[in-house]
Amino acid sequence: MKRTIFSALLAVIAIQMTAQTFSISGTVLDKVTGKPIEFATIALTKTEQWAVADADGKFTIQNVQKGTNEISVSCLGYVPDTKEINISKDILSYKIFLKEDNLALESVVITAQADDDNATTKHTIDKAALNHIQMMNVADVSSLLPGGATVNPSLITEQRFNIRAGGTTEHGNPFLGTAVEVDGVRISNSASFDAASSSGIKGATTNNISSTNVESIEIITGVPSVEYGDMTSGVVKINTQKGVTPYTLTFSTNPNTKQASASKGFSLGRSKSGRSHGFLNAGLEYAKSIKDPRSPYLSYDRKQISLTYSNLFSHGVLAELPLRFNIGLTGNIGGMNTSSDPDQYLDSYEKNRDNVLRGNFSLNWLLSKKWITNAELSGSFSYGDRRAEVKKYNSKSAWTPVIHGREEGYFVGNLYEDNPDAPVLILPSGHYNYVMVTDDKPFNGSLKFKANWARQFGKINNRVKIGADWNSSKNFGAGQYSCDLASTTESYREYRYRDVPCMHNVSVYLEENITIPIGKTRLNLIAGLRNDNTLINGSEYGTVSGLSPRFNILYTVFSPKDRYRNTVKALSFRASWGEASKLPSNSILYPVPTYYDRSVFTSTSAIEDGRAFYAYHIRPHTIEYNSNLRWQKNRTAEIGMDINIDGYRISLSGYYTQTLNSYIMDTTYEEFSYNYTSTSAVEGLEIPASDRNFSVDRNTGIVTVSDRTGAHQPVTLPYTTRDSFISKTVADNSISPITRYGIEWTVDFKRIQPINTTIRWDGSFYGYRYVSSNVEEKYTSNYLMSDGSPYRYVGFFFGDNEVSNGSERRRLNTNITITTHIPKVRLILSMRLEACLLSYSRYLSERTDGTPRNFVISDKDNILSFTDASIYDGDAYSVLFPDTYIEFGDPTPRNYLADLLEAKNSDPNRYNDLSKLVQQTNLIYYYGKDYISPYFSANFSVTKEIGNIASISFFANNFFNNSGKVYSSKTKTYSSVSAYIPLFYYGLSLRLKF
Amino acid sequence: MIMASALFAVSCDPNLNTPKTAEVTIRLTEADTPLEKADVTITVKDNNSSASYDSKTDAEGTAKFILPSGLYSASASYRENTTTVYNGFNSNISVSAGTDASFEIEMKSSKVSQIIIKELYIGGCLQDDGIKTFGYDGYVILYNNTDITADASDVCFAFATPFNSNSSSKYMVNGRLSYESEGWIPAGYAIWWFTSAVEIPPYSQIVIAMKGAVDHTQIHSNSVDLSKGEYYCMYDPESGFNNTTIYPAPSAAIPSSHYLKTYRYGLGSAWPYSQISPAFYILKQTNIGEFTKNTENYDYTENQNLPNVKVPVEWILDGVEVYTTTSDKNHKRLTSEIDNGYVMFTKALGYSVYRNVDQEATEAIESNKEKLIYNYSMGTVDVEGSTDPSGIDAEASIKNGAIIIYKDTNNSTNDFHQRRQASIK
Repeated sequence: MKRTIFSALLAVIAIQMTAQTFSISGTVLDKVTGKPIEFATIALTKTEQWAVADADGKFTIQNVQKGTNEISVSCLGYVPDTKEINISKDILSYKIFLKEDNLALESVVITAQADDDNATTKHTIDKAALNHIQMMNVADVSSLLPGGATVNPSLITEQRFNIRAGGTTEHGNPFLGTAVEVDGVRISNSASFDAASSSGIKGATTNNISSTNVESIEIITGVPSVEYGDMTSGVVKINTQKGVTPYTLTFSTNPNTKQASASKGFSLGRSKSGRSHGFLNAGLEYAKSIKDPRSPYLSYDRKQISLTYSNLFSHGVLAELPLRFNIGLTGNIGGMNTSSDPDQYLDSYEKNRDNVLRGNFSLNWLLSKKWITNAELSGSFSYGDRRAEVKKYNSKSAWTPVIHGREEGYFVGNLYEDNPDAPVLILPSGHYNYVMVTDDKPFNGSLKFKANWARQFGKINNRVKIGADWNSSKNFGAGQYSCDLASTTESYREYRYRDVPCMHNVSVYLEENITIPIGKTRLNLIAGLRNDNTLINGSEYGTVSGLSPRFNILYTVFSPKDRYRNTVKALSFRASWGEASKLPSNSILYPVPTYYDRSVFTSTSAIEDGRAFYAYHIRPHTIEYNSNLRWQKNRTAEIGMDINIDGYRISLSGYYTQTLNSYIMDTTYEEFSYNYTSTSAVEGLEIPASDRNFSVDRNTGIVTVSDRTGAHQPVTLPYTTRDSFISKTVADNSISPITRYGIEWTVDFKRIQPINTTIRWDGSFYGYRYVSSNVEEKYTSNYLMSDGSPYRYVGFFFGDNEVSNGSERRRLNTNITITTHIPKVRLILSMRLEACLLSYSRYLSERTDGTPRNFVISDKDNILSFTDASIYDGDAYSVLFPDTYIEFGDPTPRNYLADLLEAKNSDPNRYNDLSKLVQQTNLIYYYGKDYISPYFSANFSVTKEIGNIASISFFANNFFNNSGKVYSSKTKTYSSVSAYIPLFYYGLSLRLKF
Repeated sequence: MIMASALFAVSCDPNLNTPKTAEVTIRLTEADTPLEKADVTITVKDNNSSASYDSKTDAEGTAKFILPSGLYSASASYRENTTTVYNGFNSNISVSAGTDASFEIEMKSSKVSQIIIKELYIGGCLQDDGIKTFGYDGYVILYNNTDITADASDVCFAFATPFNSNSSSKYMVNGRLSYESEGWIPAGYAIWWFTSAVEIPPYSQIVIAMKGAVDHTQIHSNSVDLSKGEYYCMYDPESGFNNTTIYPAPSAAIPSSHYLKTYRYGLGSAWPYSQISPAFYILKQTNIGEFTKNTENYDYTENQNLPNVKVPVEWILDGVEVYTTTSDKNHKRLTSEIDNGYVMFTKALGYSVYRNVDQEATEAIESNKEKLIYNYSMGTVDVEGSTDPSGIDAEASIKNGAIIIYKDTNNSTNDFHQRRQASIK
């Protein structure tokens, strides 16, 4: 049976391969002036064939299959146009008229537009919408997504895209997994070492991306094509301007940020034979943000230049096989700077570079062969210079130690002039200025090959995409170092980032996209599989691979083109399921090593010159290899629908995402003993304090005092052995999945013609739940045992070593945008009301089966006063005990609670010591449900075009920001609403074209 | 006619009929029963301004005020006899214009101490360039305020939390400290104690370096020399407080018997008393180390991962509530029986918190005649600080052979001022 179907399929393909083909030739013209539009892109979307209009606006697409196709034409500065076209013979003079894109048009849109003909949820934000928000950072456009909340633009804080996830308090590294691409260049910080922080592992920031030469931004929030890898939650594609454009100057200002830019798209002319030399787009941008206008010294600036060359080679041998070529280069110089702040010490500053050089190229070859339609080769690189330089001042009124050693052992401090390479240096009292540098130079390179094959089989459209990606990450930075070791008053260790191996990712993917008409309806099925492989030379991690299958279905019941006269003008349903992996970065696989420095001896300070000695035991943390480390992945299911009822357009989507194996940094403990010599041991020595020299045995830690004058014999000081634990950190995965779910909607009401007004109602409901099941260890090194010795117990807690091992939250955000557009005066005004109608959160403490981990106690001063009450009643204190514990010298886990209860009656000191592992809540409402009462804000924006020369926009965000209060059902208190909504903000932008 | 019209117009002004003040009655109580004590001055201070109002109690122990709308704090203090003082404080006097109201001040008796805190040097100083600051110095002086030798061996040092007076406190509930009714004061992070017998002769002092027991003046001339052999120092690196910037190798002149010891139940590598506004106190208790190790004495109200130790009020000898001048959101941490007031302080200028002289008692000492030096010039009134109202220059008088009895009413507003310079300089 299978063989029969396969044979039939081959037969159909063979027939199609021999089918007759035609050509389409035509002209693209300006609808008003009738002038040809050069560099317009003409695409046949069903067969993925394309052409680029020449200087006369003329184009030809050859080898086009017979049948119905869709022709889509777009050009910078014009409104794209899409029409259905029936091809049954050669078409020789097809004329396409494009309207110039400006506010004189009737159909200007300033909101994110959902693509209702796509099998996944995708929003497009075009130039008009971008101009109508004051976008200083491309991440600012997140506010235009359904239920998005406005964030006042500023470059001072690092911004990242964060799709369908909450804030930094959520698990699963919500800021890690969104892929951001600028003209195909992936913005990545896989090679950087600053990605891991206390709030999780983060992706690359978008601060150093120019926001002025952006033509459009596409945001895929649903399950994307398998073409996109190394991501878990969404894709953001930023498209910059390409083609001929007038000189464009932009000036933007608001209280914290100033921005100016200039751009121009040049035609480089043509040869005598009429061949175009191509187009060059150049852009310059300067932006500077200050943290506080009253003290404008902490600033971030961005000075960016971008050049993009594009051309079409379609002459000679390429006449029937046009080759489109793009190459771009972007350089940014900028970063954070506090150097000139007079409020700081004049001798100190902090400068963080955010320089970057990005390059990309793409070769798109339209082959239009029977076995291949397009072949595309693209590549990119990104080289960052994120050097952080801090000049510090410090004074020492006593001799003090600094530690630089990276080898294990006991070491006594030396003066720099005696031994500049000493693991422990002693700095005499004095004033010190020094510069600390963290040299971080991440490099990411990629090379991609993609081929597609698009054919019509009768009414069935079939598109196959196959591709391979190679990505490489390497850091060329020197890591942290001091420019003057002799004056450096802080301990640090060299860690040369450039010594960390290069990480390569090789991926291949295959995607089948088939559209089948079923009566008047249409079914679009997409199935894809991606295989990611990570290769690290010289690493125990070696080569690891993973599969990411993805499926999308779009069922179009009614298409707009057939339904002009019907009430329901369009109706489609979509569903997706897919997996996506986020490959680990250097900061996960090669975290900056840490060291444990135990103070093992301190002398007294000599009265004459302050001479003092310090000895330490240094214990480097080895970078733990975790053979069980798995790649973090998201598994997403999504359903959605789009409907147009008599001009009322409704788009709905619901999603359910599980983040599996999310990256976490785990801490374990191991026994560690060291020998300690007390300062009091030097008391009574015959050797005068000013003549004492101290040495320490590297292996035993035994301290010997000798007399610099030789008058006295050396003396070995008594010591005690102290037993403790020290920690190790290892990259690990969370056992429990993190669940996120939600509903998003947009409702575009029918235009109210008499007052030229449209209303959009959008919103999102978002839910999150995570309860950890990882066993976590806790060692309270802050405590001592009752006898004053280091703490000797390590507790093992289910879920987390904190009182809660998870949380849940839900939010309901909704926005109403009222837009009045008056084409005659080229004016657009919008009022946007943002509301958070539901903000709920709650801490959780549960085992896998939902039973509580904690005990409610009736007396907050008695950890054993258990009751049967539920912690979720939110009206009692509770305690959390480790399930098991180990004691120094005995690695066998013991039942904690049983031993605690026994010690309570028999051994008060042991009870005391054990009870220090107990975690307890200090708020009676700790696990209570926290509903924050609804809060609102409103934005007002206006954009006015003055002819074709200028346009000006004014923005006032949260203009009725007030001193209102919101109520917390958990704490039963009111707090200022200003903590939830952005501060009042106003801004102005001016754009000039000539 | 014009006047009549004007009068009519004025009489029609609704604002003129709206009362702008209210009569507020404040009554002294003790154990929730009226305390009929006459001639006690009750001071009412506006919580949002420097406005202050005084009124004396009548025979029934009540005083009346006419106050504008606002939130006020009321305090009262009096000395019952030579060893007992009464203090009371109510920070929740809410006045609504036109609505007369009554409030109470719960008075608590406490004993004056033989050993008192004479001086706290906590804020650091300016470096010699006059711009940068230096804060790794710090000391406290204990003083025997009597003519009998004091045994200070069991004296311990603590501070209440939150460590800054302008930080929000989870202990403050409806304007009252939650532990006030429970008879304890929180001690944050650790409590220090002596490791050897310590005696303080009559009207004498001991200096305890709380940071850096070295001579800081070698590098910073505005700082202090804490390297002297007779000084004590907080130095116990084995406890975990081993930050070598704050606890460098102590001066070889100081014997190890003068090292204080501690048990760290908090976090960090140093004892983090506030440089701007500590609620510092001393207590007397044998084996305080055992007490601080016992988890049953821990309280987690402020931070579920960071306990405070609950120190019984009756153990506390003396305390000083320091408020910062950088904020108008200061609030009390010491209860009224420990310290019914506060002293304002500005850090990093070399100032110290110094105790005022009990002028009446000091001048009453026969041997002090001709030895007391007046025209005290170390006050800081000129920089919006405070001074010793007695006008006696205590340090100069001591050097001149005088005996000084310091003021001790368990009210820092009366007992302390901000001194221009550390007294040991």
